[in-house]
Amino acid sequence: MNYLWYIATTILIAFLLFVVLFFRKSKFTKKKLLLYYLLSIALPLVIPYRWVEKILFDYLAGLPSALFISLVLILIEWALLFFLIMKANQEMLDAPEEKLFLFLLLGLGFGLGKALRDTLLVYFHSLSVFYGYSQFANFPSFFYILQKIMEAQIEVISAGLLGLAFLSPAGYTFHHLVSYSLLSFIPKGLITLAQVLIQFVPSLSFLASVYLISLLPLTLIIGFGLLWYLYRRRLYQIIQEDETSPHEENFKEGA
Amino acid sequence: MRKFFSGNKSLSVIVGVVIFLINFMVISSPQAKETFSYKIMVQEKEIGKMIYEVEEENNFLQIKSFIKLAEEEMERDAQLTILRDTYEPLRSQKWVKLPGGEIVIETTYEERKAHIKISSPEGTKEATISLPSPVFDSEEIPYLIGKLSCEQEKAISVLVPISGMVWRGKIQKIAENEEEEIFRFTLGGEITYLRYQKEKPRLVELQAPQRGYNLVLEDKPAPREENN
Repeated sequence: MNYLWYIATTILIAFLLFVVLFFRKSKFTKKKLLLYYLLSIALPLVIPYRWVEKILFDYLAGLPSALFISLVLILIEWALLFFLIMKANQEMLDAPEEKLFLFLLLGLGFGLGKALRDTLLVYFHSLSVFYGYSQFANFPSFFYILQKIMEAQIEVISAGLLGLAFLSPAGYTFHHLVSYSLLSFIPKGLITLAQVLIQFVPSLSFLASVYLISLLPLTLIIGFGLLWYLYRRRLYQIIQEDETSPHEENFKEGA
Repeated sequence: MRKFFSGNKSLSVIVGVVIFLINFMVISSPQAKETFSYKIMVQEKEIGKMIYEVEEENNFLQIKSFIKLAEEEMERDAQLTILRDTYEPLRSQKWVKLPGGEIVIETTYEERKAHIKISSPEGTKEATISLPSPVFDSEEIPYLIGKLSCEQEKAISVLVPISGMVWRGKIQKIAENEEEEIFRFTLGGEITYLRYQKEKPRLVELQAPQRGYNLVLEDKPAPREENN
């Protein structure tokens, strides 16, 4: 049960760090932040969407089917993240930075919720009746927990990229939503693709030995780099829009 | 007493006892033991051997499998006890070698449930799982499919002890001639092709593209050294 406590402690420390680093001076209440965080953790624990994997694998087989099933799971997770971000977007926050940090917190909660669910399954295998696919032969270890925490950060990147679609003074548009959604699929898609290839393509099974030490960290570095670059670009656009809009109004009034 | 054992009566009693003893010995002794040796092929190269021993004992079949890779010692792979008539499993054991040590998965089947115990260097885990009926063990698949009557398509329930879950397995007969029949079997997303000899039903070839190996029956079974 030690590793279950490690995950629970990580969930708590991650929240405290987020609050201290990004919401210390915010007017947004800590109670509301905690509620959003708990909601994002609860979603993967309460919605047994991984049953889809078990049901579909009972009827489909092979690499193309495995890729299709993984895509379905990514889409379900995207829909859950989208719901969380839509809900958080209704909050009145002072700065776009705070909104982005709230979206990142939701992604972190969602990812850690998934990690908690997977670790619970390792200890209480009978929960697979509710959650669907699990490996009974899994034994938790330091590396298992490390992998789950790193995979949780992939959700932070996805939530951040998806959240950028909502960060516009003019409100989000369908065009923004599609382009940022596609971007948010990339880190999750890469990791899922690697997992499917390891399982279904024997000549690529060597990837299993580099998954934790290089594939995951590399995806995280590139993902966070991409998120930082796009966020800076978005901020620049927002500032530009703010600067140009009063001139346009003056021009219209003058005309 | 002396009278009783005298004459025709005593002779008939002795003959009766002898017949009973012969019958008892024949029934209780192993009736048949077959050994099948398969070459393990990876990308057209033989990397080792897989040996199956099928032993018939009363109403049960005992299937043992052993693996020998290259220069390594022969190692036990799995051991199963199944019912001779229905092929339903009673007990299975599987040994998995990992870099950190060996995992032993033991499954005991009862009425509509299975008890799974996994022992590894990191500890022991146990679980009891509800089962549909009939259910088969994933380890008996190579033996089972050729024995089940399947004209075109058939779905079976299979317990995969390592995942602790019951999956729907689908058998499809994809080719047939006078001597052989080929089946496509899907389980848990994986596809396996199995070719069986018809006359004396036995697995001739198994192709597991998702696992990256094939098993090809050898003409002469390889001698097995006991290594338990």
